[in-house]
Amino acid sequence: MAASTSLLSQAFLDRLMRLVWRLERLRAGAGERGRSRRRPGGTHHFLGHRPYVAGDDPRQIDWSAFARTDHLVVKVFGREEEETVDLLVDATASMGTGSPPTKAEAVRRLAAALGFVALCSGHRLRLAPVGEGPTRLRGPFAGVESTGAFLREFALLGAPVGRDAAAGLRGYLAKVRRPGAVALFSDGLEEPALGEAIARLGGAAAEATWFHVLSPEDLRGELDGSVVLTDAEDGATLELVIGPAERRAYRREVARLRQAAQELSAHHAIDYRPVSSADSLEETVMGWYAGRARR
Amino acid sequence: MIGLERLALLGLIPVVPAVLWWLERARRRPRPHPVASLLLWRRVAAAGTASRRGVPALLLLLECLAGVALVVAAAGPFRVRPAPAAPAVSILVDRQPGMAAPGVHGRPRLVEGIEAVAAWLEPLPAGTRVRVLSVPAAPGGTREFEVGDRALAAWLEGLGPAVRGADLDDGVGALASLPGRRLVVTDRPRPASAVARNVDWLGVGAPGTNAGLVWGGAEASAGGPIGLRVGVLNGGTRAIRRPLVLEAGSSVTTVAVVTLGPGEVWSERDIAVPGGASGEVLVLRLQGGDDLAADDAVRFRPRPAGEVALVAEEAVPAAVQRAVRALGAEAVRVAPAAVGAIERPAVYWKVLPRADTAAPLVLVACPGDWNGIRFGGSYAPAGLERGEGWSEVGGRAPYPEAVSRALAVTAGDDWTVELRGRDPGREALPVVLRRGAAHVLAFDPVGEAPGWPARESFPAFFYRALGQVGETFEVEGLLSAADTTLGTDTSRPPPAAAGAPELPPTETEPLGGWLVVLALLALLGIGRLEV
Repeated sequence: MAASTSLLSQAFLDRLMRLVWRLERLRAGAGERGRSRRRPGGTHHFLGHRPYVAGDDPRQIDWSAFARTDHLVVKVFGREEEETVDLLVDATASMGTGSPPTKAEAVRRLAAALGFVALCSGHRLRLAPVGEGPTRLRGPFAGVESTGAFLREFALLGAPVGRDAAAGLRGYLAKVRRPGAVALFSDGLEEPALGEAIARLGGAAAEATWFHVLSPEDLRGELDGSVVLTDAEDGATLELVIGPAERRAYRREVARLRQAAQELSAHHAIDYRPVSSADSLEETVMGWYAGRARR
Repeated sequence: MIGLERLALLGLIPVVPAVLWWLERARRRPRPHPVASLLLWRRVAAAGTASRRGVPALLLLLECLAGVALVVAAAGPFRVRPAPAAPAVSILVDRQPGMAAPGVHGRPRLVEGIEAVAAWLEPLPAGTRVRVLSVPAAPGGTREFEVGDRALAAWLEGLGPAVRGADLDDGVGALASLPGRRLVVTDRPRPASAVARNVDWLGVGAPGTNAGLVWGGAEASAGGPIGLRVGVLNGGTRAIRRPLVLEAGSSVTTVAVVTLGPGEVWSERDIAVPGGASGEVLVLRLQGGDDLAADDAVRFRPRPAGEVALVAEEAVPAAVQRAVRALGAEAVRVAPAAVGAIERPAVYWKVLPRADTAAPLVLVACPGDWNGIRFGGSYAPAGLERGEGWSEVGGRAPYPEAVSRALAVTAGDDWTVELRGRDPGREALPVVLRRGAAHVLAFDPVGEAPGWPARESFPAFFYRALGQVGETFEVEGLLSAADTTLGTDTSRPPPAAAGAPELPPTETEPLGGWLVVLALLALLGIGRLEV
């Protein structure tokens, strides 16, 4: 299991392969077969090779590459109208909570999966952790062959220790004035400044998606008795006696938080995706893709 | 009166609040807990919990209440209160031998009397409680029914005339002590006593002879002849003259022609049985005559010599007999072994299935004052050392005390009990008391120990005596098997039923259920407050 969750492991790569294959099947079912697969020329061009996985159409296998390398690979084609996809990953300390995986770990896997899908679709990819003021963009990555480099960048991201995701977002927007497609991965557990920054992002980006990631602990607030709560970001404390009534009130606040995030997103043309860090990676990506296809 | 079965458990009562307080204190001690953000928890805190400020104290109070209620419930609280009202109606049925004589309508007086009882009960409202006694006491002793109950009619119809007389005055005295309406059904005239004036009197026919066999039996020695014993009592008011015959197979021999005045007793011992053999059924018959046409017969079967001794006459304590009947007789066994070493006791025990307890129930009694035995032993499966659990029973204690002390030492698993005389060095009589069974032990000092009452002072009674010393044997069905039937009365109840000591009628009502309900209510309250 651990092998399949490490970003650089073969098992995780296999998961991504299977995921892309499922997406392609989904796309084919939706009548997009001609656009998403092959044929070279026209609106598609060759993006590179990827390993063959069970379920791939054998006609996609590049037999000449097999003859050269002894490895079964399939050709990947993409649209010509490629665009830049920016993955903005919340790197504040609050993302380091949740057990296990933490929200940060879950977000990296999710972002890596979506990034791989984007690479397979011929898009260029950039990665930006947002947790501090200045934001450094990593990439761009293009083509399936850059998957390894892209994943290494994810693996090199340190533990989330930032304290101001809003400042990070503002820094990104200062650097990229007209972003293309943007996917933000954040728990949104900050005071209104983050909301304002997300609103600006929605207004600036051609296409924005907010994966609102909360851990099961965030969602349920399963605490009991007398506790001293410590904020993971600023170390502030709050002493509370928590009983069933307090837990119910907390869950109402969580629902309000998500409701407010959804309304904010709707108002600024952002695709809002509430996610739990315990959710299945595949289900989340497939859900996202299905929703995107509907739109 | 309120009582507790396990008083020691009350010691837990102060512990309960202390433990709960300690747990609550531990629960309220703040524990550090990191969270992603205080954003939402601050909003929860801002919503305020002032209205719940007093809740923890109330919760603790309810928890203490529930805990204490459960502890008290576990202690087995009960309330003793007077028993419900006594039966509204009590009936005494005379079933002495004279009741077999023809009554006014030519049928047996007992039959006519039972019909009269049914007519007397008919106008009573259904459900009226009816207590029925008989003289001599019928199997099962005093019974209680309700008017309209089919079992009442069935029980009355099942009554038959007894083979011997008894003191009707005792029965009338017992009846008069009962509350409510009382009725006597008899062929005797109402006595002039004050007691008799306080009861209704239902006469069935004129007084007649009332005679019958009052004891009988046979003894056989190994290889020797069988000897009979028989006694006849004329309990009537006129002189009788009756033939007494012995039937052995096809042979009928007149033993004697018994002539007796009122109240006289005729007895004979060592009556030879011509050609009688062990195992053959013998019948001693006092032929009917005078006003009492019915025969009175004893039927028995001497066991082969060397296997078991035969019938003898002696007393078994009335208390034991009552206990036997109260528990519902199924089988009574005689199992002596090495009995000579403990003054030749006759040991009776009755094995009964008991649904109400898994522990052996043992009733022990001995006639009159006795020098006692050691009663006790070791758990058979556990193999504890002999001597554990020993208890002195008997002595000069009256029956009830001996019985209760025996009960006290037998609560537990299977017991291997040894019965010993008090004097050291006497041999023991091992008796296995089975778990889940009730046992009735009776000790009969048919011996010559100084200071014991003479055997003649015991009420006449038939039972099996012990013929083999040092050998264990069992005889099934002393009181119920056909081969020990004596006349028509298979129970041979003691005539002294009216004199049985009775505790004040009370009922015990367990209160544990209410306390459990109280605890549940407290827990419900806790749940509501928690919510």
